[in-house]
Amino acid sequence: MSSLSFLDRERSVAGPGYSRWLVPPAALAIHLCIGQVYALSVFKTPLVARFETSETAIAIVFSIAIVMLGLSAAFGGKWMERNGPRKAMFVSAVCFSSGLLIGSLGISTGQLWLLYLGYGFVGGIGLGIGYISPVSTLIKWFPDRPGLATGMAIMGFGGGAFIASALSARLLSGYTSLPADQPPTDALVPAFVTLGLAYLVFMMFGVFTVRVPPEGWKPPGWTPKEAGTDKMMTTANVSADNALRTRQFWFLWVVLFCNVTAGIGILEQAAPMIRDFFPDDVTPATAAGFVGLLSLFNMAGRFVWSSTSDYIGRKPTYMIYLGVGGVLFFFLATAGNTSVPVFVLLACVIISFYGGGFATVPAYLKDMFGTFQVGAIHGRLLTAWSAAGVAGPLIVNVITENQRESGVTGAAAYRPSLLVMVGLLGLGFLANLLVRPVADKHHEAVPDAYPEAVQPEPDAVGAGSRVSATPTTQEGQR
Amino acid sequence: MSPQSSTQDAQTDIEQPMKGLRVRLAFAWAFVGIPLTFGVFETAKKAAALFTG
Repeated sequence: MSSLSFLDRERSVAGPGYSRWLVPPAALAIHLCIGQVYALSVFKTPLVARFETSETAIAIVFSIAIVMLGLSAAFGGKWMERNGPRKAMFVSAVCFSSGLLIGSLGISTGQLWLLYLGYGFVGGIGLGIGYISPVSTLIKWFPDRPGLATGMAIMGFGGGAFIASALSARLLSGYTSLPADQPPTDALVPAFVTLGLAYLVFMMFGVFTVRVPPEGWKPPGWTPKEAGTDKMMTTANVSADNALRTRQFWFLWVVLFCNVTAGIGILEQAAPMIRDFFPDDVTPATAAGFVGLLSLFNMAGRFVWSSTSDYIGRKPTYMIYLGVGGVLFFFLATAGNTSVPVFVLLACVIISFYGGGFATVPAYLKDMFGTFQVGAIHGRLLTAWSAAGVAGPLIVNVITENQRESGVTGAAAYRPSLLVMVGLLGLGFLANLLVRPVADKHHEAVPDAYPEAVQPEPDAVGAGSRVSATPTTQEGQR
Repeated sequence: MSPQSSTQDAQTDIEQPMKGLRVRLAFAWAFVGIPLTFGVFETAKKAAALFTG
């Protein structure tokens, strides 16, 4: 459709007067919206009442959405790389918003399958495409600080849950005409429609703001490292298909899987866990406060740790997440019940590592595989997230329940599962240690992003430097 | 046109896009920053229950 041709990659190349600092807000506009999926639980009670069904049946909506997130990120990555971030963000906005609107139709007509199809399936595609859409663009605009750039965007996914949680609660209480002691079932449809339309507008801001850098662009004053000066930061490129054939991809898959599994294991059980550790000191209200505090550390860790990785390197950063994280897990298992502040402090640092692991991985992938198809490779790596989403809660729930059935109560019931997490983090630490530069045979015959032959010209508005010639393939790039 | 006014005109030509860019940047960051601050503030209020009981 010619009317939608403005979405094409070639139509979204930045011109004079554009600043790279407009790209993070564009990315945040997408991530702040799709982060809503983690606040879906706000609608759980009224949805159960509306459909007169079980909590499990409603929880399936979330599960479908997360599965679709993983699948669309894995399979949509190459399409996204071909078509550019603007079209990907547009598709994400349309899918995510339509998902909410189709879901509202399902709620209105009492058809639960429509909620599964809408929010779960269609909305889930919006989640996956939206999650990966700004990543490679941010990395190309911020080759000097990729960790900072992706940290900002992925922090938005955590922040989006905060916004949606507060906003949804207000919409439900504002639209309902039912007494406060009844679930606000009559407010569900207007709340879903409001969110669907509001998110469409908000995400369109990202669509219209994002730009890809001109070919060969680099920040003013920044000189790319020469090939071979830092072996853990390649100047070559690996395609998404070839990346799957490398050991590095699978080591990083294990790294992400272990880090996320351990973090989810705590997040999933945070409220009951702190109450079981301190039954005399912690009330339901303070347990809810603990969950809120963990969410803040999860979000902050994404930005702080990912930005730090630009200075200390990606491999050492993951050694901290997995090594120090493992030690902290061990203390949590053995000494976590000594006092509430100790427990809270340990859990908060662990969760900041969990968030940091998500945000740092795109920059790690860029270091290993180059910028060529880093968004698509990131999408495929996110299958580790889907797998960890099943493994984390399963490990904690199964082991803890077995302990309780054996008569073990309180903090001791959690000890074996926490120690399993220590072992898992040790495995991730080992996998991270084994990450080495990708062999030359996997490199692509695509031009280096910053050919030596191309000299930058100063940009009039401080957006950076733009090249004066078409990049050519460098010798040695295969 | 005097050389002085010609220099001033050239300076204004450069400053106008710079000013426009600054306004655009401020708007973009406020557009995402305000809702994010609202969400963080609401969550921090909930988290405060941990310390206030």
